[in-house]
Amino acid sequence: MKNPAREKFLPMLSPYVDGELTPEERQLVEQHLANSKESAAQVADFRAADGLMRHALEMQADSMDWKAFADDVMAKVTPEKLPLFERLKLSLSEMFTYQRGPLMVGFAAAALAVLIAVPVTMKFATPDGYGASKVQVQMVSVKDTSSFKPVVMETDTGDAIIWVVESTPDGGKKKKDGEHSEETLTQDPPLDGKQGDL
Amino acid sequence: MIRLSASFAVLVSLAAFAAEPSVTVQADVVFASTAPGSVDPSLTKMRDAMAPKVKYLTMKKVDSKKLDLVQNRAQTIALPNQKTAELTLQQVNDDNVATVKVKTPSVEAVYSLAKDKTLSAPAGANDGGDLWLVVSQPK
Repeated sequence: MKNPAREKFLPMLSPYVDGELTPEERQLVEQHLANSKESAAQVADFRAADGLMRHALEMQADSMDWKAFADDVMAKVTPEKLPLFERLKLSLSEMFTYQRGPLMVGFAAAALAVLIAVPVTMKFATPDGYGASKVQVQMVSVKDTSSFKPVVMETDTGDAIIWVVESTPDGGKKKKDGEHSEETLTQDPPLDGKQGDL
Repeated sequence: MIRLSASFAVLVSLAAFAAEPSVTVQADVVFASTAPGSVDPSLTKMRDAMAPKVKYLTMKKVDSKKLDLVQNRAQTIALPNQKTAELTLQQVNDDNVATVKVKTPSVEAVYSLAKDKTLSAPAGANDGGDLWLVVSQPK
């Protein structure tokens, strides 16, 4: 003889064992189980089967080597190495976030270094010494004798030629560019510091 | 970071201040004679410049040196007449103009270098002609 209540609750017994019912449904099933020995026995069977299955699965799981599986999962979980630009961006971002003070001091020191270094190195960096546009003889001398004197001749192109001339009895005259003079050119006057015309 | 930057600044500053002024000059020793001969093509400009005073018919370079002059350290050049010439950098001023002292057997001069310009100073007699020390900017 069919039990209409059991027919109604039969489909709910397995979900009840698996904990898939709502609280209201669960309460109704438990009331039914209290009145139906058959359903209660079936629930007990379900639970026994469930326990056996769980135990079997656990045994099977214990017998397996999960290390490779774990490594495989971890390999997928580990993020890929970021490109260099991204890593730099990330590093800078972290530095600005967590080390802003020291970083700003560092930048200030570097800027100070540049401010000091640039003018100084520009001042001393390979000065070729040829900043003038024409040669300027500041001093020229020959031996201190009355008969010789140096004469500086500036050429049209800005070069300079130092001549040593033998002075005339009146002491000699300053020469001009390209001008012939009565003074005698010589190469070997004694050298002891007589300053000549510039 | 701070220590590194500070050290860099100090090192750069010290290195810059420690650098001594120096200039490079081209020093040529020229033999010139009024005796007939040939004139080195590179010396025709010098011959023409000297022509109003002396008409050299023979001119040739007998020595050519590029000298790195360091401040107050004389550099010596041996001359064919067994004498020497000396070049000394005296200073390089703020306008990048170097002052050099030239001492030859004939004269002693102090002059300022100029761009692409030369100074010719007599350096004594030799072998029937004259020796000239020509100081210029290296090419």
